[in-house]
Amino acid sequence: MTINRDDLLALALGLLTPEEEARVQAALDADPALMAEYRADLEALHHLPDDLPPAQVPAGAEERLLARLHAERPAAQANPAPSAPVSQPLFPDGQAPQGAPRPARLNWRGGLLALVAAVALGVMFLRPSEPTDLLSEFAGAPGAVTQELGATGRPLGQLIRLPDGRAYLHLSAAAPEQRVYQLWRIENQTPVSAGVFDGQGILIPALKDGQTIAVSVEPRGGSQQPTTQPILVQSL
Amino acid sequence: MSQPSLHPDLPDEALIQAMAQGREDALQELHRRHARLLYSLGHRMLRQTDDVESCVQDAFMNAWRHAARFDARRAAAKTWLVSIAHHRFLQELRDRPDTNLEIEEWDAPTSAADPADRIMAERAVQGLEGSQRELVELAYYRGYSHSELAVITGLPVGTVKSRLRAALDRMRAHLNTGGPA
Repeated sequence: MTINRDDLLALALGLLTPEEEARVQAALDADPALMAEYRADLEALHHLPDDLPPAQVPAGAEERLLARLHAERPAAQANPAPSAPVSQPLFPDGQAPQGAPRPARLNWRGGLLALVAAVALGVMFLRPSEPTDLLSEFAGAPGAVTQELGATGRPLGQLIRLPDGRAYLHLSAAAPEQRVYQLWRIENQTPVSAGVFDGQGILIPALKDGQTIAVSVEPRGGSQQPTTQPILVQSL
Repeated sequence: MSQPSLHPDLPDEALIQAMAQGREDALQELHRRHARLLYSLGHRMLRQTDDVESCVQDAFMNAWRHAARFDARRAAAKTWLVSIAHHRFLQELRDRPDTNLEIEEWDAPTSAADPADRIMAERAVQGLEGSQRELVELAYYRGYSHSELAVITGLPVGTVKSRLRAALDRMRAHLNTGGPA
């Protein structure tokens, strides 16, 4: 399978579909020369902002960043194991939100019906569990309420509601290799991305009552719309 | 026990390593060094100021969370950080209601925060022909796909791709040599 230089540029610009991105990422990992080529593209592209007029950093921006860091710790702990990213998009390795050709939206009612099959399949290819310190920590927080999640009698994980309105979602198994979990808010029966996580847990910011969330397995970096049936659909 | 303070001349890569060890002062220092650049990028891409701070915050928080996974073989630290912010702004753009495809007015290059970086960037973009620069900026700052760029410019998709690639090669050459390719 050949990767050409247009593919590298499209990856750097965030223009590839999840499938294309996975293909190019795999080629990069296997070919140091290709990786060097990609790095040169990235360096050139991301020099562009240096040519922009300087902007003012709003007063207090640094303090607000630190306040947010403190509010989200330990979920935002830099040490990735166990990981508990908050619910927002992550593109840490130069992986882009998928822009151009968008996959067709899945039928979420159909997704609910397909849940049993998806869970059965999911349990087969999921990696073994990781340590669950954060789970214990959130579950033991004062006022926390733990709800078991499952489908057809098979446990999927736990949802811990915290007194401040946030919730911590913990799945029983980590995402498959080269894949991540992606959290979705369901708005008017349409999934809206609420972040990806490659460990087992994610901290969900306060959501409105009755909000439905879902989790699907996606390529690294996440997808603009779900590309697999959800393994979990849950009303909060 | 208090930690020793970070040396002010630590390279960005060392700051990211310190962030991976949980050093909040490293995150602060990274913010001091690069927040202006990310705000500039945000203002340029989003073309308003309302959502820029939250997106810049997201970018720094993502950098904090994934500091342990930073891979210097893939990108320099600053490039990595700008890349994270760029993708966050792209997502913000793509989450907005659809807007008409149009060629916007281009900002004339002006003084950026770091004179050395500004000179490098000016060299890179000034080495481009007008149409090349326009394509690169539409793709980078507006996140337009090849097919969208074809609609905007009236060029075949294949021509869009080849011109983008040629433009980037010229930028790379200018960044490496400071002169024409």
